Amino acid sequence: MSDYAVLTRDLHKSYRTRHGRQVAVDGLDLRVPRGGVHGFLGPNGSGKTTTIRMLLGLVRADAGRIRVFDHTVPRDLPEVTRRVGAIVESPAFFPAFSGRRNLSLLARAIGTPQVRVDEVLEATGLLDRGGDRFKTYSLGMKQRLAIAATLLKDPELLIFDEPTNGLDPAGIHEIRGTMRRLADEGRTVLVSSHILAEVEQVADTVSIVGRGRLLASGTVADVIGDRVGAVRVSVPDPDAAAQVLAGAGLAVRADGQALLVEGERDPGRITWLLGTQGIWLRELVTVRPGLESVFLELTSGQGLPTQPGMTPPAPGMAAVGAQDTAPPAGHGDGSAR
Amino acid sequence: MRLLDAEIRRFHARRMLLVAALVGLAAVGLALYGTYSVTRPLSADQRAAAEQAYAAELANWEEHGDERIAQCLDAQALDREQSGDATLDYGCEQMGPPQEEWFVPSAPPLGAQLSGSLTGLTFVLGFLALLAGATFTAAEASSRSLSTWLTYEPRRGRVFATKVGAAGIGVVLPAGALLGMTVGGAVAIFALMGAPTTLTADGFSPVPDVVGRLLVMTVLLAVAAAGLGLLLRHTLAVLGLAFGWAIAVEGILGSAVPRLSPWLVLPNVSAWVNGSSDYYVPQCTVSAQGTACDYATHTLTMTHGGIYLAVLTTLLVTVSALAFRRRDLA
Ligand SMILES: Nc1ncnc2c1ncn2[C@@H]1O[C@H](COP(=O)(O)OP(=O)(O)OP(=O)(O)O)[C@@H](O)[C@H]1O
Ligand SMILES: [Mg+2]
Repeated sequence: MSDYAVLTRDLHKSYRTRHGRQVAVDGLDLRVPRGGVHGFLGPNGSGKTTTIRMLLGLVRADAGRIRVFDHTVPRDLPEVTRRVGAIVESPAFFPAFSGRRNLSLLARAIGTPQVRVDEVLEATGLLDRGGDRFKTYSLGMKQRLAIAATLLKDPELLIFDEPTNGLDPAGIHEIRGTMRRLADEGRTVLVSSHILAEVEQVADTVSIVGRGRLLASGTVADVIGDRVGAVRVSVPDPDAAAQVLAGAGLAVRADGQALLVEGERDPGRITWLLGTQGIWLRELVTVRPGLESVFLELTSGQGLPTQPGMTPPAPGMAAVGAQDTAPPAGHGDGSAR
Repeated sequence: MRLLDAEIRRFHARRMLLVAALVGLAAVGLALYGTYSVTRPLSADQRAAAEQAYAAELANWEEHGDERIAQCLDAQALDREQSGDATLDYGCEQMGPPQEEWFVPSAPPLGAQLSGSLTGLTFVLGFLALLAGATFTAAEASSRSLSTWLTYEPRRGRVFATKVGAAGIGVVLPAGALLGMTVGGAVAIFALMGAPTTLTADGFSPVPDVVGRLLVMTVLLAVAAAGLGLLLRHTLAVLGLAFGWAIAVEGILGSAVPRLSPWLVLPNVSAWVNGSSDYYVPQCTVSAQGTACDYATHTLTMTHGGIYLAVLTTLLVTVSALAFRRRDLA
């Protein structure tokens, strides 16, 4: 048994469109460890949904390999499907049927006893609205119904594709709690998002993708936590402080009344540098990079879209190991199937 | 089996089926009204008028009957002489006094009436089967709930077969109920009106056969429509294709080139349901007097119609199944 719930190797997919072929996934190597929450991060259009559809057999890969729980997908999907619950993009059910009837049909299709329907409705707080038509549900209720539907299978792997899209803060909080709870029960949760903040609180590990490729992966701390974007410092005399910090070799720029100090991982050193000069801090805040800046940093100057080579990992971070992503010579479609 | 069970339940729970059943009920109501009108006794006025007309004709015959027979025989003799054909027969011996039932109508035999009512439902049943089958699959293909379904049962071959199969099985009950109401209703009306309720149909297909063949047609159409629904993903596309074909190919091209009839859907449906169907191919000869056209009658047999419908359905379903197996789903 491998340690990974999901493994993809050199996965490729392009769609036929009116303007030719649109590359969606371009040699993706994704590894989702068993257990815990894995964040699947990337900007809009980076191929997250396409990848998830390929994992589920809804979309056929052009090339590459997919393993889910050590089974080859799509070949072994019948063995795998029961162990995987998924919500792809917005929840889609029969709009004119009630939530309960939708679940009841799914339960019947997979041979789950009908009593389970009310149990999962109860578990997701939908019991009293179960008789209403799906199309009358609010977004949050649709999302909960979709989670209820995945629970009909008692899955070991849950795949949520941007589950918090359109939810209010309470809804987001609730979904996060649900994901955490599912992971704590020993399941694996794969959650895609384009918002780092949404995932970093709940994810144990993350993969960052851009234009259909893996840019970085590892624990949240490895990938993001180490990369302090900047430290913001408020002092009575910004000019004097700027001189001190610049003298110590740090990049400093003004940010309103405060200073932004870049390139220092340890805020304590800033405190010490200033303190020894008699400059006392009013405030010191580490500014954590958003996904956007991590992403920009990961892709900056790499010629990402056109160059078929890998993205070298940024120094000091647990980016993808070189041996994992170095593509074979003459790399292209059809190389692995 | 569970999958098929779930799909049939879904088929029967759809509101579209209810709407279709109501339309079907209206059509059955019309058919039964037709049955009622032929069994309804005449009003006193109508009866008096009919009897009066009969009496007048009878009197006329009594006065001029012999004269007419003589005229007939004369004309026959003249024609025989002119043509030199002594076997020409004008049928003058069969001329006789008018019969009362020519003027005072009575109910046709139940079997004949029912065969007419049932085959009259062909178009409505066919349309409803098309609608029910196409919406069953197209609605979910366009609403993405099909993708959700596939994350529970990823074997596309099975998913396809159970959906298309459920459409075919699912229409049996409602269509059977509508046909049953037509038959039961007609028998009840005949009985209430005091007309004989023996189910013989002189010169018509026996009623159980017609019911059976209508059901087969309904099932085949629902299956084909469900397959097309998955292929085209929109109910309107399926209906547009069906009606576009019916008008452009069957209507316009078919009437311009009658020879095509054996390969068209509507003549074959008619042959299957009615037991046979005739089409007429003009055979024109050009002579000194101009062009003279005769119409040669050709008959499509019931077997031809049945095989045609089965093969057509199989073809349509196979094409959509192949497309469905390979397709990327949103
Ligand atoms: N059915 C399709 N036909 C054509 N192109 C598609 C299709 N689906 C996705 N794409 C294209 O593939 C690329 C990846 O899309 P995908 O939906 O996988 O991205 P994503 O990471 O899920 O984005 P988002 O965060 O916006 O959901 C995009 O350029 C998109 O336009
Ligand atoms: Mg997406």
